[in-house]
Amino acid sequence: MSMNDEKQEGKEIEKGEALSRVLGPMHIWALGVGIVLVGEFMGWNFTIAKGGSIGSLAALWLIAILYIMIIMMNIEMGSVMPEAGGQYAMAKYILGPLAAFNVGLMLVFEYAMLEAADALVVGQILHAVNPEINSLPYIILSLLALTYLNYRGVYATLTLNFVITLIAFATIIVLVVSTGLAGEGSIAGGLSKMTDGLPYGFIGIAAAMQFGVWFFLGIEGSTLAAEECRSTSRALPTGAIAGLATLMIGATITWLVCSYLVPAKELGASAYPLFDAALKTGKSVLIVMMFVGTMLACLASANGCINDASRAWFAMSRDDLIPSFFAKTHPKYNTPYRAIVFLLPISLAFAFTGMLDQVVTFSIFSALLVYVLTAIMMIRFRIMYPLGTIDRGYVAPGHPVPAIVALILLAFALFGMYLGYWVNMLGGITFYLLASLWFVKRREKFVDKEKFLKAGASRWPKPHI
Amino acid sequence: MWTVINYAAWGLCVLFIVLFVIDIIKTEKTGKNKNEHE
Repeated sequence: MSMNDEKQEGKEIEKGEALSRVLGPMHIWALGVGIVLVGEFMGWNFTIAKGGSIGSLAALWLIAILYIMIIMMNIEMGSVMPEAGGQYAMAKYILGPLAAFNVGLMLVFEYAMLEAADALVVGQILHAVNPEINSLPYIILSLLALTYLNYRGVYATLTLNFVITLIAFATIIVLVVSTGLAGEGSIAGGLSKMTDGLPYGFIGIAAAMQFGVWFFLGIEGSTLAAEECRSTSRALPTGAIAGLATLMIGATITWLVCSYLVPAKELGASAYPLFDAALKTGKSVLIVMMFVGTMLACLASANGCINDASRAWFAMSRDDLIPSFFAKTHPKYNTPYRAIVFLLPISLAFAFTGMLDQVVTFSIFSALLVYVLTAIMMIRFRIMYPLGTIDRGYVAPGHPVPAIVALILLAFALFGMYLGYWVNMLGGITFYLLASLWFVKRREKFVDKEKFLKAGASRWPKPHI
Repeated sequence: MWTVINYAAWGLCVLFIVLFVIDIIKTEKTGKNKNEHE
């Protein structure tokens, strides 16, 4: 990116702190879907244990509606803020430094913990295939190799993510087609034998919603690469909407094929539902294929998470919300290499704990908090800059309905989480409160408010509030 | 056989760490010199 381009965008990015503009819609799709697809290979099926088969399906579609709202709001705000950091950059201009610090931290922990969980699953699957395999070196190796790839360049990283995500998604389609489900005359008959309806009533749907998030968790991370897009206003809406559509189709057929092949009781307790569905077919080709699909989905997710967590950390550092040491980009690869390397031992430390459910719960809780703030930001953004006052790459229709619907659905999801994991929620809130306290007491004084908002102030008119 | 493969995985971990360390040291040195030059 030349200095002229930077000036045109009204940015005051110093040399050595600018990222490469090399990404297109394909990479945005790969980043969003790559992070999320692993949720279709595992985790989502706990919705069945919590709410039964129909409760799971209801939770799936309610969560899909939530993500449609989140993505619409993200794209509208993200398309006018072509900076690394995604929701962090939005919080920076719309809510101020303290909220931006919290959103940035939540994003970092959402992705760093998800990355640790992905690596843990890679180790667990290998150990399950053969108990002689020691999972630890493979957990460490997968994180090291993917971190090295991220270190060497964003283009190669996300091109690889595109390929492995596509293969992983194709394995689900092949499973559906080869089971004969697509041509089955009596799908309803087959499903009625295996599913268990709505055993816990409507409260089961609320309880299932927190695990329904697995189907889509991380798709909003596509906005974190906004600064690295060749054309943000084109790549971001196209890539993110195509990604969401892919995931909605993937989630529905995953529920269908698993519910069709695996009895609900077994499915609700399965560690790898799609792999178990392949086992039920008894076809060795499908079993091997789903093993490969599960592994690739985990690696694609970890790869995307490293990318997103480092961009959020980098953006916070560039704005002095954390020490500016991390704001340096690699002179040759133009990647935020210090942020990438710094977050590696943190993810490894979480992976070493081996507590997959705890790690994932903290990741989901952080994500839900970011979504709540996203809805609040959208309401404030439209008040600050009503339609027509600034150029938008995309306009979310029906405002404020998306924000209100998202907040209502988020309240249900958080209530569902409270029922099973209130201790984790309390721990998470305490952590973010303590971090906020540190920021206010020790860090806020280093933030130059004028410089902090300068890029936005030079591009947009004075806000209405 | 799996013991050998497990050790090979550990070996690759060490290799990646060495690659990282070499590249980071090189980058920090080059970056510093470049900035000083500028």
